[in-house]
This record gives sequence, C-alpha cells and structure tokens, in this order.
Amino acid sequence: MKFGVPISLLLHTTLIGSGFFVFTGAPTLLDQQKIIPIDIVAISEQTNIQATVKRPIIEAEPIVEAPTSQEEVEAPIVPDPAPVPTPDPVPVITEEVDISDTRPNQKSAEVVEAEVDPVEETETEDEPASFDLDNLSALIDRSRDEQPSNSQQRILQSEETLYAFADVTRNAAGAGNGLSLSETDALRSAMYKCWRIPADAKDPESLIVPVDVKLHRDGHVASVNLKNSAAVNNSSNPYMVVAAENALRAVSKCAPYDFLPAERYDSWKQMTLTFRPVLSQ
Amino acid sequence: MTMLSIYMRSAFRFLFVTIGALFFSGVASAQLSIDITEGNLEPLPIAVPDFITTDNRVAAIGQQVAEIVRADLERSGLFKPLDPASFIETQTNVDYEPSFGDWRVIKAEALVSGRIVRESDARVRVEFRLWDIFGEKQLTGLRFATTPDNIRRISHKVSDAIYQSLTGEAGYFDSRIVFIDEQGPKTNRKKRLAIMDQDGASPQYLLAGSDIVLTPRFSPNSQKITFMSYENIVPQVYLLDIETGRRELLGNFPGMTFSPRFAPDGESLILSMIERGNSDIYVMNLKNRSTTRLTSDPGIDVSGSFSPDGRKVIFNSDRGGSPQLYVMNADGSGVKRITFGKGRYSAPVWSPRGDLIAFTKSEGGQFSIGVIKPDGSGERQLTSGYLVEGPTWSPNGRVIAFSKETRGRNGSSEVWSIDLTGRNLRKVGTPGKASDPAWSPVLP
Repeated sequence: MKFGVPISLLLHTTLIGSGFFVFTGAPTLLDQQKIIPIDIVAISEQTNIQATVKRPIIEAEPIVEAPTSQEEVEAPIVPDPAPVPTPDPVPVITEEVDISDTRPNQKSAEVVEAEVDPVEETETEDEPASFDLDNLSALIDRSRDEQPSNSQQRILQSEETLYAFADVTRNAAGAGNGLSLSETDALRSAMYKCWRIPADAKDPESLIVPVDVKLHRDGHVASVNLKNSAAVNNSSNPYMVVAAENALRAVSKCAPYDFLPAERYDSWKQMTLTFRPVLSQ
Repeated sequence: MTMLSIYMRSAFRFLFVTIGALFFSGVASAQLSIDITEGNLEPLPIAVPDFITTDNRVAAIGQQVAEIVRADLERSGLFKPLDPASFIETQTNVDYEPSFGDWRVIKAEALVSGRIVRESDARVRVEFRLWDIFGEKQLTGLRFATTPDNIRRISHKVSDAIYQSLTGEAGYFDSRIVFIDEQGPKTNRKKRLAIMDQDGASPQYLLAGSDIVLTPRFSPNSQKITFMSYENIVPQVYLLDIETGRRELLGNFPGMTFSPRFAPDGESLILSMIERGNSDIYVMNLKNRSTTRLTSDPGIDVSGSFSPDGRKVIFNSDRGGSPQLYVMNADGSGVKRITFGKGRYSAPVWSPRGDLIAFTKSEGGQFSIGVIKPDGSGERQLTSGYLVEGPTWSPNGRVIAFSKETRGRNGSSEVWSIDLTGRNLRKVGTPGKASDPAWSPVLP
C-alpha cells in the first residue's frame, strides 16, 4: 500500500510520456478505401450447435470442403458496396443453410467412427503389456522401421476419432436443449401466418403479450395461457385485451406444431412465446 | 505474500460466484422463450350466417341484417366475411354453443350467430352472439329492439359491436358522412350540401338552395354541422342543425371567415378570418358568440383544428416561407413548427384518437394525404393522386375519408377512404360527383 501511489504515478507518467514519443508528428492519412459493410451475425443466441470441427485433409476427396468454407467467407463481400440497408435476416438464413449442410458430414462421421474402432485395437496391440525398458526400446526401433507415412496416418486416424467424438458431443449438445435456428424460424414463420399484428392499434409497439404454451408430443396445444393475465385484465388500454386475445388465438390457430423435432420434445413441450409487434417504417 | 494469497482467495471466490451465477442463469433460462415480432395484416375470416328466425314474416329481415353486417365488416378491410355457401353447420338455435370444429374446418376465426324475433307488427328484436372459434368462447352477446324500418341502423350497431369486440376500439358503422354534391362541368359547378350513411346508403340534400357551399364540418358530439357558404357574396360561416334543419349565420365579422371546425366539446368553433389582408385564427364561443384571437402573426394562419383533449391546436401557416404545420396551445401560446418537409402542407386535422394528425400535402404537382404524429415525427404518406385533399377522420380515428379529383375538364370528383395504415383504399359510393366529406360522430 505504501508503494502503491508512487508505483502508480511512475507507471502513469511512463505511459503518458511514451505516448508523446509514439504519437509525435501529424498522423498520416491512409488511402481512403471503399468500406464494405459485413455483418457478423452471432448465432450463439439462436442455436447451440457448435461450429463443425475442420478435419485434416487425409485424402484428396475431403478437399472439397475447403471451397465451401471459402465461399462462406466470400459470400458477404460479394454484394456491391452500395448502401446496404438494415441488416435483414438473410445472413442468418445462410448460416442456417451452412449448418444443415454439415449434417451429411455428421453421418459420414458415424461411418468414420465405425472405421476408427479397429484402429484403436491395433494401437492397443502395439502398446506394451507391462513397463519394460527393453521392450520399449525394441518398440522404438520397430517404429523407426515402419514407414513414416504409415505412422503419420495412424496419428491422423487417432485424431479422426477425436473429431468424430467432437461431432458426437456436438450432436448431443444440439439435441440437449433449445431449438435450432431453422426450427425457431419455422415457428416464427408459422406464427407470422397465424398472428395478426396489431399495427393499426394506438401505440402498437407497447402491446407486448408473453404467452405460456404447453404442447403435446404430437404438436397439439395442451394449454395456452397469458403469462401475466392480471396485467392484461387490469390494463386500461382496450387494445391490450384484444392483443392478448389475438396472441392466444394465434397459438391455437397454428396448431398442430408437428414441424418441431419430435426427438427434442423436451425442449419445446413448454415454451414462452412473446408477441412483440415491431413495425418497420 | 500474504497480500497475494488474499488476492488469490478473493479471485477464486469471485470465480466461484460467477460460475455459480452462470449455472443458475442457465437453469433458469432452460425453458424455451421465443420472441414473435412479425405478424400478418390479413383480414380476419369471420362467418356471418343469415340471422335465423322462427317467424317467416321476418325471415327477410334476418337476411338483410346479415348482408349489411357482412358488407360493413368487409369494407373495413379488417375482416373477411366467408361465403355462406361454405358453411357446414346450420344453427337452429343461437342459444347453444356452435360446433367449433365445423367452423375451424372452413377457417373461420369468429362466428356471428344471430336471431330475429318478431315482438309485434311494429317491433322486432335482433339478437346475436359473437364466438371466438379458436378460443371456443363467446366474446359478446347483444340484443336490440327496434321498428322494422330502422333495421339498417340496427345492423350497423351489430357491426359496431362486433368490430369493437375484435379490434378493441369503437366501431364507426353507425355514422354518416356530409359531403358536397357536385353537378355540372368544372367551370360552372353547382355545389350542394348532402348527407348519407357512411356506407353510401340513403343520401339526401340538406339545403334546398343552389348557393355554393364549402368545407362542412361535423360537431364531435351532436348532429350539427358548420360550413362556409357564398350566400352573402362574402363567404361566411354558418351553423346547421341536421335534425331540425335550423340554420344560422355565425357572427357578423368584418372580413371573410372560413375553415371552421368544432372544438371537441362542441361548445366553440375555431375558424379563420381575414382582416385587413391578414388571415388569423380565432375561437368563437357558441353560447355567447364572443371571439378570442389565437394568432397575430403577419403570415397567413388558417385551418385550425383542436386536439381531442382540447388543449392543443394544429394549424397551417406560411410564416416560415411556405405553408407548414404548427402546433400551439389552445390559448395561442407556445407555437411550434412540426413539419419541415419540402412540399406545401394544408388542411391539418387532429385524429379523434389523438395520436395522429392528417393533412394534405402538395409537392411537385402531386397531392397526397398523409399523417404525422403531433410531435412532428413519423410522417407517412397514405395515398397520392392528381388532386386528393380534405381528409376527415372516422369517429374512431382509424379511417380517413377524402376527396379525389381526376384530371381534365370533365374530370370526376369522388369521395374515397383509406385506413390509417395506408391500406384498404376504397371509393365511397355517392350518388353523383362529390367532394369535401365530413364524417359524423357515431349516432346515439
């Protein structure tokens, strides 16, 4: 504590002093370049599926993956730098397409898994039964004899098991909770058809109605209730009552929700839909 | 060293608390929660079967009521009455719940089931229930008794009740529109004051004479109108009681008076008067006929209109160089300009709901009807044309009627209406050429 102030002073003066040296002279203006707006859309809030793990290139075939991932990077740059209006949900959809694209890979990952097992067996065969120095040195010698490419292949294959495992955990995480972006989108688009937005009410954006929905496994509505019915009933705003009725009607009207994935029933058997009118002008 | 260990310990504690908080927040938000922000603006499918009756003498009335209700709801743009031919269930008693499934199949979201009961030769009873098909419950149920010749109004009342129940705001079907009936070519046109139901039914002239009459305006709470007439060479403002036909000249002003409009309480009028070449806005108390001057600017100040709470006035002034809209307090203080657009703004009128102001705008040889919030934000154009002007609000502030003229010497002049969202543009049926509509309050 005693030295705190001097140390702080020293550090600050050093910092400020160095600033004088670093920032001396007029800043040179860089060439003006066209600004290409790119939206970086975080999808972590929408989905918990993790990005695919990139596989090492073992053979010529998997290289096909590379261009697709490059395209992905290039895609947002392609649009002309003319004024890009509000960020519309299109980028999100492209993301979603990418995710679904990876699904065939997951299947192939399962196939890889099947292939992987024998490799592990061979590895266990190679491993010494007990810790014996002679044996170990012999083993090292033998491994030297082996073709380098062969041992590399083995390492790659064992890495492959890691990736396969990553994919499995990825699937599990995806199945664990929440809906994927495409499923949320499907729900939203269904609601778009069923919900009449109170655009012509007075101050429509204040008419926010959260609704608790319980669904049966077949997608039919088990119950639908206002999350805070007291607030709606006590509201002096006559539009609020109608907005609440419209929200409830929309949920009933959209049934059955059979487009939601049955295997993840646990994640959507109970949900809160918040009807929040957003008017674009 | 001890300091370091303390720091370490507190850092660990912080870490644990953070992880714990994250864990619990994860548990709390495990239930799926989705925001629905986009919905459609499709009209609501509604089934209105003919009202049933057990007495054949009033069967025609049951049909007529259902037809008027269907037409009212359809014209509002908010409802889509379904074709009665598609109905599966034929109700024989409106006191039982309908079979909701049968109505869901034909995609009806609401059902109006009604009945006509003949009470005597001169009296019928109209009853109806409005059902929410998906909510499987009754939303409203009403009963009206009337004479058979009053059936149009009762039908409009039924429509109003349905409208109110499904939109949350009062209907406007049981109201009338005053307009200027025009005859002859543009160069020599006769303009007469006339009135009709808001759906164009039963039009009639209000004044017998052939004097040129302009800018009729309804009182917000009685069946009185004020208008400007060229009866005395100098145009002046008159008051007319529609029920009694009594007409009177309002005050004997030295100059020309025009653009009158009622205050929300109906007790006073806001009008413009030209005195010594300068036009200003005045308020006239209708009881004692005293006038108060609100503006005293050398610019042209015209077309005053009160806010529904009577505390503010919107008006049109060219004090800034071109005609723009200004808001001031009801006593003339606190003038604030709210439009800064390129065009010329005119004929502002405050919505009965209070949230918007409708106006006419001309820019680049094109006229348009628009709305703007009283603070000057959210200006929107609803419709445009060669000549569209003179907006008037429906009593519930959701629809705007206006006059529309087409180009040419024999161009027609018509009354049209549009929803405040800019949808549902429709022609209002008038007997001939018509202009300058003014919407009445809902009839008592």
